[in-house]
Amino acid sequence: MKKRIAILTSNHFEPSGARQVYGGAERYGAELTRLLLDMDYGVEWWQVGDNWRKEIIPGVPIRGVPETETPYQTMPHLNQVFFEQAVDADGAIYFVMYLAYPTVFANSISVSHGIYWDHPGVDKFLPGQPDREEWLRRLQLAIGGVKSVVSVDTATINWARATWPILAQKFHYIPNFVDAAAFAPKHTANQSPHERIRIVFPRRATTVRGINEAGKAALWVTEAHPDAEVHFVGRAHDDAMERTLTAWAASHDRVFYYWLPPHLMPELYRFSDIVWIPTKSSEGTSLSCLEAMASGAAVITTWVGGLSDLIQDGYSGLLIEPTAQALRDATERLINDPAGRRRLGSHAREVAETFSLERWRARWSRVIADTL
Amino acid sequence: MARLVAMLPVRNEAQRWLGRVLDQLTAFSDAVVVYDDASDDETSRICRSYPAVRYYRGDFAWFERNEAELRHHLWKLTALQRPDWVLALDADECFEDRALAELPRLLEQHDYDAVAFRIFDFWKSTELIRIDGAWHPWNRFSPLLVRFDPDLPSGWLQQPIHCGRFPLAYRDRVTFYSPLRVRHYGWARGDEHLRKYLFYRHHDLTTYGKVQPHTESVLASTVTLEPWIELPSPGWLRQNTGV
Repeated sequence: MKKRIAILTSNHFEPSGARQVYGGAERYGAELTRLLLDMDYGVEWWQVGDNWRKEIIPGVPIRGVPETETPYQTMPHLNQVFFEQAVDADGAIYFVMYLAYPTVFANSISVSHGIYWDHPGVDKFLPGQPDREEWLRRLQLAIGGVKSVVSVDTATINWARATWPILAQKFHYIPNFVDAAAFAPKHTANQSPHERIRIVFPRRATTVRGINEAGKAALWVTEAHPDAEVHFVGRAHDDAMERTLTAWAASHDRVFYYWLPPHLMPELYRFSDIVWIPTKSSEGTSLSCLEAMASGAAVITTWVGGLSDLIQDGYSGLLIEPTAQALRDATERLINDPAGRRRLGSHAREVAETFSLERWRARWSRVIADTL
Repeated sequence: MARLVAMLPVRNEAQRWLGRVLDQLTAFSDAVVVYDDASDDETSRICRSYPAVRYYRGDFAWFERNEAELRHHLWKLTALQRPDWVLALDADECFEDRALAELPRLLEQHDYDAVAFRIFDFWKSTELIRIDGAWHPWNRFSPLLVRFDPDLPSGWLQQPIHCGRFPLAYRDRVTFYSPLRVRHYGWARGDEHLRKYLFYRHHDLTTYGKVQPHTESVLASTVTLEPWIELPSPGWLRQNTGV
């Protein structure tokens, strides 16, 4: 009989169930599900939701549990309902580190998608020292309770090593992946791909991903360079923001806002010259960054979270401070240096091949086999 | 290439939007199945002028008595075309222009089984859209495109109107929410409002015993409108680029 793995996440879909949150973590979830199915496990997901039941990928169920409270940046009630409802499972994966509090399955793994507490807004939820201490106590218990923690970047592991040295050995560094066959350059190094300089922001349109800085830089760059166009390609967190961005983009020449299904993203990157990943916080080893690299684009990104695990500044991309000015300056530099741009893209492609999906699956397979 | 079949219920559409809708649908669909609900105007002639249209006509009007029966019948006729994907539009709906290049590209994958779109209601014009209350187009997506699965049952939600465009089994499929927008011209002519209001009012009273707020809002003295914004195609996203 197949072993069954229960996975707990917070929001793969919006709690109403009406809308899928389609960022890197959600794509990671789909890929992890496919790996487990290939390893002949049965898989079922749980998340916050209004008692609905849907499919996370065709044939794999996800249930909505109506527990929304987040005291001290944890979800103990959701954790408890999951523990009861998934009782028949042979093992569990806590898809976010803090979800493994206060109880955990004996055979369990949690996942860190990167440091998320570097966002200034965390102060709103943990306003005083006692709150921070209680949050840390809970996080320490969550990390200590599971058998293994898979971290997508080294930043999280080294933070843990500096904070609770004894827990560092729980961590496995498995950086994010890219399908290097699907995401591949179209043009050879000396070809001019098209008349315009195409700049792409391929992320969710949110403040932590630097949408406001990128918006400001887009206007500067398109004004200064009549041959440049900027594409913002990603959903926002809510309908109002999508409406605002649509109207904003339509009111500026050569600025576009839309989003694409996953299967068209390789094509987008192939037609990109420069890719912006101007993250301000809450970042691991961005799938978008890896996909842009694998596609041979010149990437401009920041030294936030795990991005410096991916990019060697000046060799495989540019690392900048997450400001509009820095983004503009780096973009100017690349627009004015087509050869340098292509060189960065070529190196990025080589580096990206070391983050192949096959390696990711092999590493995860070992952790799953040893833990679950 | 995936075979896309559109399906369209029509009734006395000759003086409305049918030509515009069929011009677009036949440009990106492999076939358009039209069920004519006993029209007595030029609808038949217009439909038959498009080679891609598979035209069927009933002699007794169904829509005003039982929309579910009509849609179920249309679905069965569409299934005969052996579609990979089915697109369900009404005769007063069409996509924004950029969909011509972009919509077929949505079908080349296995990640999802349905595509949902935002529908914008044009109000007494073809330039302004209504955005107050439940008319707000940005707050909801409607699944209009599904991957056809011959093994799924074709049972329909049994209610006289608002019965959905697809069989019950096609609800809650893994869905892609598309940025492509649908123009709905059903309210673009002010002289049709009273007749449509009375139709929905009658059904509200029959079904719920009272007129629903959204129906009442059709005749509201103040409405909130905003201009429809034309959006250019991103340019690089073309059909059959061979990459």
